[in-house]
Amino acid sequence: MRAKQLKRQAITQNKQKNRGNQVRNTYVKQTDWYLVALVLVLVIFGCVMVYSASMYSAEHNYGDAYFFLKKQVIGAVLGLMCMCALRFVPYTFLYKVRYIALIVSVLVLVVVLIPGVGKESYGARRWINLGFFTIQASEIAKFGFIIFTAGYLAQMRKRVKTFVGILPVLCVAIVLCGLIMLEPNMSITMCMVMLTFVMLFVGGIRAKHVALLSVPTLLGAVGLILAKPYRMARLMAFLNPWASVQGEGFQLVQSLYALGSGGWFGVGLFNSRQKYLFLPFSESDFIFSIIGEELGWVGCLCVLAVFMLLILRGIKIALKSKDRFGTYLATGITAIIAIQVVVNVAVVTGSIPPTGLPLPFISSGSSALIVFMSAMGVLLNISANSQTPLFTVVETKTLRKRIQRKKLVEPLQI
Amino acid sequence: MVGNYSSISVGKRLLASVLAIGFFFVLLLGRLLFLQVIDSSTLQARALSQWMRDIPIEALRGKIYDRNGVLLADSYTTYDVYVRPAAVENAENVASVLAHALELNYDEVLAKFSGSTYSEVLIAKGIQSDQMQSILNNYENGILFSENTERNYVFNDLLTQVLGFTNVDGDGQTGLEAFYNAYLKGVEGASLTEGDIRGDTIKGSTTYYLPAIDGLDLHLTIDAGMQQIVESVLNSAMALHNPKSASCIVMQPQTGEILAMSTKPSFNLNEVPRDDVQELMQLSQNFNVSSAYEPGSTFKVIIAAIALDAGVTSVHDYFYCSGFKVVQGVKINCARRSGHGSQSLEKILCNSCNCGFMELAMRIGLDTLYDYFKKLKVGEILGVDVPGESSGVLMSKASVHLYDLARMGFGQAIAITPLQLVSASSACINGGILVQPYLVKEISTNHSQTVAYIKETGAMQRVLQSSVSEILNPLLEKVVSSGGGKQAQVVGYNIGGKTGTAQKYENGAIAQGKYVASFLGFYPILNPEYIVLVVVDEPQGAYYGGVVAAPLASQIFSKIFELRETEKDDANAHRVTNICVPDVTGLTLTEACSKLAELGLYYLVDGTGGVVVDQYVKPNTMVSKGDVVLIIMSENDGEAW
Repeated sequence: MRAKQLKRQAITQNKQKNRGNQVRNTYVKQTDWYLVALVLVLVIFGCVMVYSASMYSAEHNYGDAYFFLKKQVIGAVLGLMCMCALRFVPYTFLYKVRYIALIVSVLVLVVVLIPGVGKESYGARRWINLGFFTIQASEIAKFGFIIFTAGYLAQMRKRVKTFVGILPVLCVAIVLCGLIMLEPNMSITMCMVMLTFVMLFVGGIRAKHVALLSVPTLLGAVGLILAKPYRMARLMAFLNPWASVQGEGFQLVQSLYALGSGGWFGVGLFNSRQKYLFLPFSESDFIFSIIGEELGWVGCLCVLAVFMLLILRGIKIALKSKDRFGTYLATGITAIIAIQVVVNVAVVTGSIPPTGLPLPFISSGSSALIVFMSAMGVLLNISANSQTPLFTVVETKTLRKRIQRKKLVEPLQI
Repeated sequence: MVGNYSSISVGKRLLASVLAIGFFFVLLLGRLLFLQVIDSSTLQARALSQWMRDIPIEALRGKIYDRNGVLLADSYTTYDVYVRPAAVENAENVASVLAHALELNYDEVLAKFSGSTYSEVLIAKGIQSDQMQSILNNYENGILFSENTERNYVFNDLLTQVLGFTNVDGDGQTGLEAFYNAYLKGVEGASLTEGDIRGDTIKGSTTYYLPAIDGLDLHLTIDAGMQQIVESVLNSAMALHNPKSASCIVMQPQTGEILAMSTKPSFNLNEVPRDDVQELMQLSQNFNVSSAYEPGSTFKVIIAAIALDAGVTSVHDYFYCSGFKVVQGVKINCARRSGHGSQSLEKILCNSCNCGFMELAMRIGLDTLYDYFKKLKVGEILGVDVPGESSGVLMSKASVHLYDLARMGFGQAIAITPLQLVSASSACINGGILVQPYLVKEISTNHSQTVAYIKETGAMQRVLQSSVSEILNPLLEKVVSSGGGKQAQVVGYNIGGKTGTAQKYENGAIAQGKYVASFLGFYPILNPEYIVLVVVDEPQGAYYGGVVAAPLASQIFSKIFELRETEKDDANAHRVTNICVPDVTGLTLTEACSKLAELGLYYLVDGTGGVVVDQYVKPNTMVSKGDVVLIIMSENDGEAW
C-alpha cells in the first residue's frame, strides 16, 4: 500500500512539475524570421541571377531580355503568398490529408503521361499545362511523398524497426519512382531514392535494413543507365567530357568553361561570357555555373553557405518540433533541398554524370519556386509550433499582451 | 528495444544527416576551388577560343626577286564576300550593293542569303580590291569579307621547278616556295571580336587586331635574263629533238651562285595543272638536282682532274687505244672501233677516248678515286637550297669490279645529279676549290629592306691543287676549238668544255636507242665565270652530245655574252659561213672524209661499217671553215662516246 501511495504521489508531483515546465516553456507562435530572411535572400538572389543568365538568350529567343525574370518574379510573388498562407495553416492538417496527398501525387504523375495533357519537351513528358501555367508533376509528387512518409513514420514509429514495417514506404516510393521514370526523369527519381533513404534513416530504421536496401537500389540504377543508350553516352561524356566537346560532353564542357573563368571573385555580376548561348540551360539547371563565373569561388561559397544555414535551420526545426510528424516533415523538406543542392552543384562541376535538376529557389522555373516556397511555409508553421522557442523571446510589451491574450501553444498529441 | 524509441535517437540521426550534407558541401567546395582557381587558366584558355570570333588577316607572302632585283613572284590581296543573314538590316539594299559592285544578278544575290539558316553565306570569291572598294563605299550592315592572298608569278613559265608553287592555303608545295616557306609565309594576323555561339558580335565588345606580319622576300642568285636565255634555248631544243626532258644549269664556278637553272617540259606557275597530280609532280621535278643519271663523257673532266691531282698522269703522258680494252675478261669498246692509236692527254680528251680514261681510272685506283669523290661531293647530297635533292648512286666500294672502275673512267657505272657534275667540275676548273651551289643570296623584310639573312659564301674548301686547273682548262679549250665539242664554239670566244653521250641503262641492261646527250662548258678559260651544263634526256634522232647538246651550249653562251656585253677574246674573229655542206650519205668512209677535207671541214666518225648512213650537219647547210661534220656509219657499236 505504502509503495502504491508513494508511487501515486510521485506521479502527481511529476505531473505538477511537468505542468510547471509547460507553463515555463509556453511561448508565442512566433514567426521564424531567420528562416524567412534566408529564403528571401535566396529567392531575390535567384531573380537577379536568372536575369543575368538569361538576358541574352531571352532577347535572342523571345525578343525580351526580361522574359525569364518576369516569370521568376511572378513565381516568387506567388510563392511568397503560398508561403505566408501555409505559415498559418497548422501542419497537422497535412497529417490528416496525407493519403489524399499521396493519391494526388500518383494522379498527377499518371495524368502527365497522357498525351495532350502532359507537355512534351526535350523528349520527356514532365509538365502539366494548366493553360496559363505549366507545372512539373514530379515537384508535387516529391512533397506528396514527403507528407505521406512523414505521416507513416510518425504513426508507425515502432514498426519501422522491422523490415515489414518499412515496406509500405518502399512500395509507395517504387510506384512513384516508376511513374517518374515513365516521363522519363532520371534525376528526380534519383532524388526520390535519396530522399527515401534519408527519411527512413531519420525515421529510425535499422542499419542492416539500410544496407539491405542499398544493393537493389544500386543494381536498379545500373540497370536504368544500361537500359537507354543516351544515359550511357552521358555517363561516358561525364567520364571524359573533352572527348566529345561538340557532342554529349558539350554542356559539361561549357559549364566547366564558365566555372574556370570565375577565379576567386568572378568576372563580376552580369559579366558572364558563357551566357551568350554557349551554356545551354544557363538560367535553369546550370545557373550555378553562371554564379561561379560571375561571382567566383567566394560567391559560390556564399551561396552554399546560405543553403547550409537554411539546411541547419530546417534540421533545428525538425529537432525542436513538438511532435514526430513535424520532425519528419521538416526533415523531408530540408532533405529534398539539401539533396537538390548537392546534386545540382555536383552536376555543374562535373562531379557526377549530368542530369537536369534545378537549384532550389535560384534556378528559373516558377512552379518549382512556388512549391519550394510553399514547403518553406510549412516549415515556418512547424517552427512556430515548436516545443521550445528556437530563439530567445525578448519580452516586449506587445509580447506580454499577446501572452495575456492567451495565445498559448497546446502540444498536439499524435 | 522496439519500444524504447527516444527523441535522442532522432537527434543523433539528424546530426548524422547534417554531417553527411556538410561533408558533401565541403567536397563540392573543394571541387569548385579546383575548377575555379587551380585549373582556371587551362579552362579559360580553352574557352577563349570560342568566345572570340577570329577572322584571320592573312600575311602577304614574301616576294621573290632575281639577283638584279627583277621581280619573279609576288602576292596580291583578293577578297571573299559573305553575307550574314542575321545581321542584315535591309536585304534589298544589301543585294543591290553587292549585285552592282560584283556585276551579279540582283535576284540571285537576294535569293542566296535571304531565308538562309547558315550564319554566313558566301556571295563571291576572289574579288579584286577595286570592286571591294566599291562595296565599302556603299557599305550595308550584314556584308562581311575575308582577305586572301593570291600568288602571282610575273614570268608565268619561267624557273618553274626552281620557284615551285603554293597550295590554296598559301603554303609552298614545291621548289623554293616549299624550301623557304617558313620565311615567305609570314605570320597570319587576326581580328578578334567577342561573339556569341553563332558568331554574332556582342554589343559593346571590343575588337582586337593582331596585325599580320608579312613574309620575307627572297633574293635569288638567279639572273632572270640568263634564265630566259636558257629557257628559250631549251624550248627550241625540245621542239627540235623531242626529248623526254632538257635541262640546263648555269653557275658561277668561283662562288657556287646558280645563275640559271631550268628543266623542260614545265608549266605555267599561274595556272598550275592540278588535275593530274602524278603528272604535276613529274613536271615539278627539278631534273638538275633530283635526278641521277650516268653522266658519260662529261665526267671525264673530273677523272682527268683527279688523275692530274693524284699525279698519275701529266700533259706529256701518252695513251694507246686499240679500239677496246679487256678488263677482268670483259671487253669494253672505245667509241671508235678502229682505235685512236697513240694519243696525248689532250688528244684523249679531244677524241673522248674511252680507252685512255679506263687507263686513267685504273691508275688512280678505287680507294683514291672514292676519296676524291667524297672530297668533290660526287654521289653526295650537296645541300643546295631546293627540296628533293638526290644524292646520286655510287656503287658501294666493295661491290665495284675492276671493269666497273674502268667504266667509271668514262662516266658510266655511276649516277650523279647534273648539279653534282657542275659542282665537282667547278672545282676542277676554278683552281681546286669546292663551292657550295645555292639559289638564295639574301632574305630581307618586305618594306624596310632590312636584311634578315645573307648566304655565307666563305669556308670554301680546297679539294684539288690549283695547278690542276692550269693544266686542265687549256686542254678543255682544245676540246671545243678542235675536238668533239666544236659545235659549242662561239666565234671570237675561247670556251672550254666536254661533250657527253651516255647510254641509259634500264633494269641493269643497256636500253637500246636511249641516250643522254650533254655538254659541260665554261668561260673564260682563265678564272671561269660561267659553267654551263646542258643535258638532253632521250633525244629523238641525233643523240650525240656534240651534236645535240653542244650547239645548245653555244647558243646559250653567245646570248649570255650578248646580255653581259662580254668582250671578245679575239676581236677580229667573225664567223663566215661560206661553205655549203655536201651530202656524204651513201659514200664510203674514205670518200666522205676526202670530200669534207677538200672543203676544209673537219669530221668525226661514229660507228664502223662500209657506208655513211647519216650526217650532222645536214647537207646544204652553210657553215664556216673548220667546222665539224659528224659522219654516222652503217654499223653502230653502241658504246658511250
